[in-house]
Amino acid sequence: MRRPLSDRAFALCLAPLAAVATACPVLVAAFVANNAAPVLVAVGPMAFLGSSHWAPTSGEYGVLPMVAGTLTSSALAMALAGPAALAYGLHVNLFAGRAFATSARLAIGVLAGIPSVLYGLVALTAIVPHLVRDHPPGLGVAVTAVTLAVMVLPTAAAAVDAAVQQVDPGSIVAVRALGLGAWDAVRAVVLPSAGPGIRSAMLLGLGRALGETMAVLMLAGNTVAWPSGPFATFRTLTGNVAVEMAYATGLHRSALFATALLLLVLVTAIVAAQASRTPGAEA
Amino acid sequence: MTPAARDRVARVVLGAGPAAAIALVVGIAWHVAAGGAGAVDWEFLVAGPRSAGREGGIGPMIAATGWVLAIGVGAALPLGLGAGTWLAELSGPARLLRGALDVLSAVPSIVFGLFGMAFFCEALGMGWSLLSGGLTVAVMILPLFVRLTEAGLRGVSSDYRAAGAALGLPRWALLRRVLLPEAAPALAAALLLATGRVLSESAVLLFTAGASTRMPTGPMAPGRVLALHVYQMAIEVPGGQPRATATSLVLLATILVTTALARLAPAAIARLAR
Amino acid sequence: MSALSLQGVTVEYRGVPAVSNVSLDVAAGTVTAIVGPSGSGKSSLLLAINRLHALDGHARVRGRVYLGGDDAAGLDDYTLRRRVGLIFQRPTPFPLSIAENIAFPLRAHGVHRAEIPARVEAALQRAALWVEVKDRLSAPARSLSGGQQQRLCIARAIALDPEVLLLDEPCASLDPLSTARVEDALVALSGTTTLLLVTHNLGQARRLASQVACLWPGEPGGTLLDVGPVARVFTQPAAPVLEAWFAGRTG
Repeated sequence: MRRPLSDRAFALCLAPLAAVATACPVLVAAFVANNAAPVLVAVGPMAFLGSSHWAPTSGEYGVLPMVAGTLTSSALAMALAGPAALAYGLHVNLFAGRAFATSARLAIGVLAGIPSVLYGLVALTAIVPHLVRDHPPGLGVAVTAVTLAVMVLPTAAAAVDAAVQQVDPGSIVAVRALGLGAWDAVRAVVLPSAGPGIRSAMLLGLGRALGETMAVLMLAGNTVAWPSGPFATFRTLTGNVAVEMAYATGLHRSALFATALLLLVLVTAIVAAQASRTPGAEA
Repeated sequence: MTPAARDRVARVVLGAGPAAAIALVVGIAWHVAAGGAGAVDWEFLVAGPRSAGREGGIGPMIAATGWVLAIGVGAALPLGLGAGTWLAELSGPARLLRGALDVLSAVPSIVFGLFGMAFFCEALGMGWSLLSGGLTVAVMILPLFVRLTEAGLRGVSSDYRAAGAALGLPRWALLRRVLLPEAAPALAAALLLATGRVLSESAVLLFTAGASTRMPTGPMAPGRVLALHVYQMAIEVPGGQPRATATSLVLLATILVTTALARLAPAAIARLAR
Repeated sequence: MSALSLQGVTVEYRGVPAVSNVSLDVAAGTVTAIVGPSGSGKSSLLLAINRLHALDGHARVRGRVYLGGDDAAGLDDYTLRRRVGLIFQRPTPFPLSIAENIAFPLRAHGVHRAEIPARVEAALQRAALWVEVKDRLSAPARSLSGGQQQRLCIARAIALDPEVLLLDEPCASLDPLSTARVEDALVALSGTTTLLLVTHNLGQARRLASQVACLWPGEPGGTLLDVGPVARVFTQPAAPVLEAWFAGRTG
């Protein structure tokens, strides 16, 4: 019988595919950084990050208001979605009946699949009209944060659900066997052991909020201003890029790439933070 | 407070979480259906837009979406299968690949939009085209394919691997004849989930495939995908919100169908195989 | 020359020996049984012979294994495992049809397509399964009973014409009737193939084997306490612990 093709040859055939896959993020970072370089060289990273004057026509590229916009809207969104995700994860695993738990999981699954433009559109047509009367134009921090919270909820909730499911059922039973309740089990066993997974879930949600573009574009108002109140219009880093990219040239264009680079750095930091908190997590 | 009382309170308070999720789904679906159902008919689906989209249909947008989907999935599938098989079957340097994919899956879509523009449209000279858009989207869904291929292969019984090894069979023969077919249901689900993801993207495609409302003539032509059309109608065109809602309905229905199929198909395929 | 010769074989997992310094000669066409209580390293020894232990990255084997006159260390994995087959404790048919379970490995090893149907039939005949499945060769292998699946695995292994067939407690998951059928198949095989059978069942060792090797747990790793003709070992074992063990386990 002839000798079959060796495993080493097989690995050699797969290797290029795996290599290309590994190269992708590097490629992305490289191109973004390359296009961001001109403006960073011209005005310097300190002026870029530290200045609150964004006036491309006069050569000023300070993104501080947009950083504030991104951080504020994301933090507010997590403040709303985080507790809800935690409540969801604990409830469906420890308090809910089978029918309710299945329905809730299905709901989260559907919510996860809804595109961001759709969330933006629904907020625009269902919420904003009610706000326009008293607080024109109805756009701004409040509606953006709420919509972001709804968008981020499925991501964080599903991750909390997974973390809670990993808890050893035997330890929960042990608490019940002492005549204590499910809530006691939550405090004594579930929160301590699912803690890292839950923190990771929150980071996941935060990462999603930071990177959100379309709904924010539709709801924030996109003025270059500090997010000073619930009905103040503002702009995020993502919105900055989306709004001006169409007509930006030269150094202005480079500044938008620099904004994208900043986003890339932020999310990489979050991924790194997640990796260090979740022991042995799979991709 | 007794444990029982604590549990009663907890059940109600915590129940707000899942209840909110259910209420949101129902509310959103109802809002979109109520607002859009009236405008959706066969003409709407095949005709081109008139009056900047306030009248007419979304035929060209559906075609553009189809192109992007075909190119995106077509490019990502072999790469994803290869990398996923690598992770599941071979013991090479996996950490690097996994780390790379983790980062890739966290990158905001707007950054992909800029990358796609700089790399595919400009550096590779493809211009604003469905091809540029499709390839950019392929990079975005790659982590999903890799993860699901790997999970699918790992889920196949290790008995087959042991038997294959004991018979001195080369890895690739066993993969081709036994392991991959057994993982096929999981791979089908991956395909459908990736489809849902591609359908949701808008910002990425604005910067790579353009926003032209003409029926695309081929992959090198620009086009406007459905999700982007929703945005344009909602924000850029005064009075376009009703049409935006109608388009949303079509988009949402398609995504829901593919997501549902992604959950049901694996079991159905597995049952067919028996 | 023996069909299989082990010389000073030691198997270690992460530095901890599972079985130490086993030397054993198996004559061609005979059946040798390996018996011993749990923890004596019987399975580890078996898996080391066809280098399946290598699938676990932390296992190491010392000593020499000779196949006919060839040093097994000089053979590549695929050739070695074609010449030395292995039957697992639980039947492991592929999720394919009965015929394809045997045809696929033959094709993968380069056998010409035209020869395959004849070889499939021959293998099933040798495993005493042909009569039961000849009318449903394209039925899924998993529709067979446990005993039939195990005989299919035997057919699949001997289709490759191995010189030696290793069996790791092949009847452990089968009922007595299926066990009897598998044992009949093994008896029929033993003239043309050399069998090395790990078994918990002393009666089975007595029924099938001409030679028996006794492994016993120890530090470090299991050791070979006695090896010899079946009748002699069971009536006059070389170690008192064996005598006590046989007495407790017989019947």
